[in-house]
Amino acid sequence: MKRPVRLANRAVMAVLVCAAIVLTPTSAAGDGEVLEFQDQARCWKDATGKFEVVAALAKYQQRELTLHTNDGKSIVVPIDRISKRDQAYAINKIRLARRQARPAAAPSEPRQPVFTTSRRANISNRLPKHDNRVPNLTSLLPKTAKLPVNAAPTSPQNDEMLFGVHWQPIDRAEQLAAEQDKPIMWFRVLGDLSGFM
Amino acid sequence: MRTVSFSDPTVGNTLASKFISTYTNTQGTANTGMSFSHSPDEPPGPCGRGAGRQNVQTVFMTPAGKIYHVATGFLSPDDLQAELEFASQTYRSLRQSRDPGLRLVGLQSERMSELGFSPTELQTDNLMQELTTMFSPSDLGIRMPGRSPLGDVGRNRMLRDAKFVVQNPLIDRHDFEQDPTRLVGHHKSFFGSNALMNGLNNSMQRVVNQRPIRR
Repeated sequence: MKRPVRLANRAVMAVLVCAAIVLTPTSAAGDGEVLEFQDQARCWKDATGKFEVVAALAKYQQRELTLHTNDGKSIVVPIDRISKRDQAYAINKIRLARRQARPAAAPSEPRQPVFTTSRRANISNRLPKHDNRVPNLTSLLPKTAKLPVNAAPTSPQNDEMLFGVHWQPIDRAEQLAAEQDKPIMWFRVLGDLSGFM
Repeated sequence: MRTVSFSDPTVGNTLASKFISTYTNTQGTANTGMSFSHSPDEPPGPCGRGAGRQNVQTVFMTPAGKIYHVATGFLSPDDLQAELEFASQTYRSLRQSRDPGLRLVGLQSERMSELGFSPTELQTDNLMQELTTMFSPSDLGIRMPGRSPLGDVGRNRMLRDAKFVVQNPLIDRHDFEQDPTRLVGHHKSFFGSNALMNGLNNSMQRVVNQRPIRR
């Protein structure tokens, strides 16, 4: 009696394994957003701050970043394993790439005043359900991300690229402005520009 | 602002081509208020022009560190682009001027006039305008349909910014940093308690987060 039961169990297991093998690539492809980047090499640090590497962001897929080093090596790292600052940088790149990948929107209607009496009844249908300008990327951050208590004030120590802008230390900014005969845009902000604020 | 305005491609191109950009974390200074403490990936809350002026200031300086234009509080991409254009043109005009301080006052006054402000508004202090400048519902994350009963907050904050520059033309950034409350006021003196505001902000943030943002 035991032999047919064992055979049946093995058959069930085999079916389950086959199903897993067949279904896994399909479900992964369903979530498989792949973004590729042409980025400059920069210093990337891990969440502990102990490890760092100079590499260029090459690809984002399934919460993992692929970094290309100058000597041709590829490093794949989960986005929640890198430092907060680098996460912010990567998320910004991802967001810009998604925006560029989005098909061009049809010409919109000219803006009309909101909340006028004639349009009040239809206003809820006309307003977008969500802000399309900035997609919600909360899922990309680790769930444990919290505002650091008594975080030390930060300012750029070197030229750093955040949110599409090169930020210089203020003394360096004055020097560059004098050399290039440009004014200085000084953004004074409460909080860390690359992290919580 | 970082996720909406600085990330805007037009703003980014203008900053890259016409300006040198720098930032300072103002944490711990007398003027700073409370923040909703959001990370870069979170979608923006409801913000009108000038919201959170104690926590965000966009300051334009000459290479020598002389301040010639300020815009306090939140700026949308369009607003920031307009401020950048004005700041770029103003810098060019100041470079060619024999008396940059006087020229700056003239340029700021001309701009305010073009924007619909009367010379009287720029020269005198109105109690209601000052009140509106100090407090706005949008600082607490409240988006009001139509105008605030106190008046247009963004408009009055633009006026306050221009007044600061006209009253302190080409002030050195080091002097400004000694007392930034001249521009944005002292947070504690008006609101009384940071702890109280922190609790109120947190409560408002929970309400805001529960509702989809509609624009």
